[in-house]
Amino acid sequence: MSKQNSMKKNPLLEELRKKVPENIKSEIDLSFEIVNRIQEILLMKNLTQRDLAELLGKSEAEVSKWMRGTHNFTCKTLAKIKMALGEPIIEVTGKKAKTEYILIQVSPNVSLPMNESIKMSNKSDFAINYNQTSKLMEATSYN
Amino acid sequence: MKATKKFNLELFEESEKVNFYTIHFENDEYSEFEKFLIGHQSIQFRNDLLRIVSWIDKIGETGALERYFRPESKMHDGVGAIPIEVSKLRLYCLRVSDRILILGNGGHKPKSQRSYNDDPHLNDCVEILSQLDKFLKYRKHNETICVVDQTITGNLSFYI
Repeated sequence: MSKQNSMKKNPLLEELRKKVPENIKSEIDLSFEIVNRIQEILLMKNLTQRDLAELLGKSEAEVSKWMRGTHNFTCKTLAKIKMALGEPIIEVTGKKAKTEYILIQVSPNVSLPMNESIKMSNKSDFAINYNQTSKLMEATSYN
Repeated sequence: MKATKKFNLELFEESEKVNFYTIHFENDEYSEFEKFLIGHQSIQFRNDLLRIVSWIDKIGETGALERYFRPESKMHDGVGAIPIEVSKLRLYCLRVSDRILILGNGGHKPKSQRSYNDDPHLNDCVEILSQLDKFLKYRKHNETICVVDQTITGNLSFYI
């Protein structure tokens, strides 16, 4: 039995857990991620919450309230924290994946179509792409 | 003279990083935290309660770090409130360490009340945790209880 399964759980809390909407879970997750990221930067730069408060012209109590993991940050506040700490706090991801080029070694006796280039967003795409495009080709990727 | 009541500190739930304990008064059907969960399932508090449930799960994953709690009670004890900013529903707890959290009871704190002291029920919720904090420190000192990692062992019965 795994450790997770053998842990004591309360039936009443378990019932309520099932009722937590995804948006609340997501909100709490994001909120913790933000404050943990801010804390990570503070530790990295050897700064305290008081230092951050001073940099932002806020009271220490205000910053302490933010760092409890349930604060509803505005974009304005996040931008100010980013500027004060000189590090990104959150990242917005788009649909367009970054293109990654992988060097492949082809056996000398295999001929490739001219101007063939292989672009993949990640290594699993590479495997799929490779299998779909040329089953004859033997390739080795170099990291 | 106020009658003495006996309560036990009991393990409520275990999670990866934190063990959650609660207070259970002798002869009561439910523990203090169960009373809180049962008492706040109406429409008025439902979302706030579910937010608290989600927060507890997050604490179970990350640890009961000091900075996650809103300090309550007197200075230098570990009594805190779960800090749901959008809500006036307060759940009080006692943070023993990053890996042990004692969940108490709580209730609605209207805007008109400045502090938990203004409400007899909320005041009782905080006071019992504050007393428990003293008991635990005393018993740790005289070695009748032992706090190791996520577990408290020893004599976990108390009188208040």
